Amino acid sequence: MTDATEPEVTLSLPASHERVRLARLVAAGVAESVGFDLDEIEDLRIAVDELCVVLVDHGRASGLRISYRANGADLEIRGECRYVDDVAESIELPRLTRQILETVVDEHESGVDGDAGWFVVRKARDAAGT
Amino acid sequence: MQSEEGAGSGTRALVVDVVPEDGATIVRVAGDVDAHSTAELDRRLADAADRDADLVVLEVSGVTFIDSTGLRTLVAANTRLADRGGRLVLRRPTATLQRLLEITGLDASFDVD
Repeated sequence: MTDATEPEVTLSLPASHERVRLARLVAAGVAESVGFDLDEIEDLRIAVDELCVVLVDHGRASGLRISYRANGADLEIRGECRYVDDVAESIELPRLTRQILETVVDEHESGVDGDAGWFVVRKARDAAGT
Repeated sequence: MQSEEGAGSGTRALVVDVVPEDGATIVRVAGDVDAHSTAELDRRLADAADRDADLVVLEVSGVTFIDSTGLRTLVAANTRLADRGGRLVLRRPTATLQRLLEITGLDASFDVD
């Protein structure tokens, strides 16, 4: 466990459902390396999965890029998809996805800027785990 | 009767086993149920419902990951069976699955064994 700011980990993937599992895997690895407990890691795995699937489903994309940055007790994960066709200008989260995210992470945002869809999730380690 | 999807680089590939028994069809699910794999689970559950519309027991203790697409597949299977007068029972859900059902309010929709 460390409280120092860790180097950012980045992952570039084809924008497909099949590859989203790799985004989950890296989320779990980064979270474990900075001291998140098993329940918190599970929360991060599902949050990353839900938001990656939303980006992949939003339009035909050339790729999916995800970055993971730990800062003290906080982990921030950002995702971005660049679309090759015009897409809707906003992202509407499915009901189940929204319900899950609002419980498993501290903050989440998603949207579209130009030809790119994006998300950010943030979660802090439980104080007891520090 | 087993199907397995491709290996998942450290994650668990979906495995679905369908076992007809007297009075019920047992569907054992193990591995990751996600947007990539859930179509296979949906197909196997639809087949099970066609075979035995009275009772399908979904043994889920081996599920290592499930997301909202997997939950939707469970809801669809439950609805499909209920429409035919049958029942879907979730057997031995993991703590993670149980939590997701509670978060989404779907726990009231399923019989859990």
